Amino acid sequence: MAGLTNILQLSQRSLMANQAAISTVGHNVANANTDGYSRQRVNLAATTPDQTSYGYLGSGVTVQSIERIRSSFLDTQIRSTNDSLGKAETQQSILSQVETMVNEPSDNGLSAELGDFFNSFQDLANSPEDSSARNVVVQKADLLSQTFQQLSGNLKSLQSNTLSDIKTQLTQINSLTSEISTYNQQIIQANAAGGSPNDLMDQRDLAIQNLSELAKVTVSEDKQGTAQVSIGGIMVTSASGNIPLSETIQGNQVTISDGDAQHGIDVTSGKLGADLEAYNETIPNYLSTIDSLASTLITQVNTLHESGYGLGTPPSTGVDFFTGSSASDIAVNSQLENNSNLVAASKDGSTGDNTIALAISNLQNSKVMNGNSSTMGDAYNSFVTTLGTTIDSANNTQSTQTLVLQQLNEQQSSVAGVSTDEETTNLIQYQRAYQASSEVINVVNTLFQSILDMVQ
Amino acid sequence: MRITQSGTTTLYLNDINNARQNIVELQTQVATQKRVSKPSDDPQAASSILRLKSMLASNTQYTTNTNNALTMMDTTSSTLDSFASILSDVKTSIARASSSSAGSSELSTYASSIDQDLDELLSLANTKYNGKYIFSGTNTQEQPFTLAADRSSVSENANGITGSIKLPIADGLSQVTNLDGEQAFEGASIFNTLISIRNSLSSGSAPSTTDQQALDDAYSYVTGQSAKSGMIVSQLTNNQSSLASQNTQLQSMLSDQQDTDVASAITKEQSAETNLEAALQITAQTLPKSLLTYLSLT
Repeated sequence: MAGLTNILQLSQRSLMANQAAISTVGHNVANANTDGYSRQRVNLAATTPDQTSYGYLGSGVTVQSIERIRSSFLDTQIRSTNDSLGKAETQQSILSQVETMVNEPSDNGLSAELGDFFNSFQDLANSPEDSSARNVVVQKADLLSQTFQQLSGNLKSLQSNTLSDIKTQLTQINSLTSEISTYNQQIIQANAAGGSPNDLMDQRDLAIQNLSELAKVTVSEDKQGTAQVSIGGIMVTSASGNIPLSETIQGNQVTISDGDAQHGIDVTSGKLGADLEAYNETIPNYLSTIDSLASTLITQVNTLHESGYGLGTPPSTGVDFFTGSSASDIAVNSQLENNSNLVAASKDGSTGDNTIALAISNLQNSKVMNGNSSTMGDAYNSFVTTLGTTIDSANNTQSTQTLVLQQLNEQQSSVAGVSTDEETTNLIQYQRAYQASSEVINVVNTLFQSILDMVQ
Repeated sequence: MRITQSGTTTLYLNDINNARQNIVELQTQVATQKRVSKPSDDPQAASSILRLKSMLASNTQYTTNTNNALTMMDTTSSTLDSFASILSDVKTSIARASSSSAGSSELSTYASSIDQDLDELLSLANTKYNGKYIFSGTNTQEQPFTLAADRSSVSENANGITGSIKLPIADGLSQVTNLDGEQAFEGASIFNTLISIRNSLSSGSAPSTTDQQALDDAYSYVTGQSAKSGMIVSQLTNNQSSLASQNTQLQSMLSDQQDTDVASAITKEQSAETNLEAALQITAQTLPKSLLTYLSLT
């Protein structure tokens, strides 16, 4: 038998359930623009019916659960796109700086100055008895040396900037893993108390997503709801807390290891991966290309120059043209700076002979680089082309991954995002249900009144 | 598919961003007039540009070298012409002097005229152009031929009057830009032959047949060398014009690689602007719309 009191209780439950639903609509709308927020849904269920002689009589509604709607599959994909995008973006930014330093193709890049330097020796060959042509040679060589030194210095300071970026990123990683651990603890407690801590899970997932921009992460969840995050095969967050990472500099190489510096961690992706690659490989490679170019120039020019004769009585000979041994310290011999007549053009000491000047100028056509397989100009060209190609491919990766990420985010937002239209519709639905339930209470009230009136 | 407000907002923003980025790139191309201003714009083109630029620099250098060689050889050629023409005059006078009718006073007149010619020839052989003695081989700062104070002999510079000066005038091609004293006149012997002829004439006797023969040989030798230098001049002139046409060709290849096709870039830029306007307009129309606009909840 359904007593009037039962109907009152049933209606009260309905009011409470719809109120919870309306409150969730409010929560959703409030967080429509919150980063990482997943929309929540109130799952309603009919309560256990009362058995009567004429069958089961419904007893109303209850809130079964409040569920977070989110695709964890898309989350995994977003994380893996994040790390390739993070890597491409960082590569792009580092290499673009190199590209700016190289300053090609232009009229004052290394390529043009190398050509100018060699051609100035041909000008000297045109008037080997002239000291003004020698001043031009020294001047062009000065410019060339400065460009080498600048390029080398800029690359080195870029390398050290990259190191400080690596340190900053490690700090970020450590603070994110500690944040994730804190959320993990709170989630374990909430789960133990019963009920799904949706908002905590959202915030933890957001932190993991931010972490995935810095390095490639793999995530697994244990039974209690702890997110176990690994970087490079080492678990950095677990139920027991987070393991901070640190960097070790050995020689010219930076390596990452866990707190006790016992396990090396191989980070190849994400922003950190890109910075490590730049610091350990890319920039040293560029430096060594420039260095070998400079050192070849120094030895080749010096060998010829020492064998030749400058002006003067008796004509000078055996003088080095360049000093130094790499791009960082190449310079014109200071003796020549002070007295350009020491610049050698002649092979036999006669003032009109230009054999040495021509031989030095002809070095630009000699295959003296890379095991005598290419000229200095070719070697530099291929360095510039490789740089351009690498940036181009980083640009392409960046734009592709950006598109992929946009699509994934769109898909995730289609699943997890808040649609205000939808929420408004839901609001009307729950509002009407609430109003109708109140009406039931009103009716029951009049029924009570009728009964009381009967008694009178 | 569920469409959410934050999803559409991001989508619109991305579209607008892309459209703007496109415009900036095209505007940069138009403003700089360069399609490739950094290697990553087009790595292959950047490599070609570097190569073409260095070829252009070489071409310019070859042109300078050719021009220098040309003025040197021009001077050499015209000096040798004058030299040959004086020798030819000398030959004529000697032929007259050798005729039996000439008396001793007439002979001594010839002698003094030859003495003057000797000075002229020496001054031609010691021609200095652009600060260099052109017939002194590689010892360009030292006078190649010196007449003794008593005018009894001409000697060559002890440090030598030989040595050729080469300049590269094209890839793999070098040109000798001088004739040294030995090549031009076979050294000082011609002057000493003239001195010997002058001595004979002033002593009242006709020049010896050996000397006359030597003079004839020297004349035809110098004429030959003059022709040779003329040939080099014409080779150099040809080279000059081929370098000029190469230069034009290289410039146009360089421009193909690095310059913006302004007309097409501007057209593209305009279409990109239309694109942006469309994106902005759609965003402005759609973004503010929601169910709430049409609903009043009571």
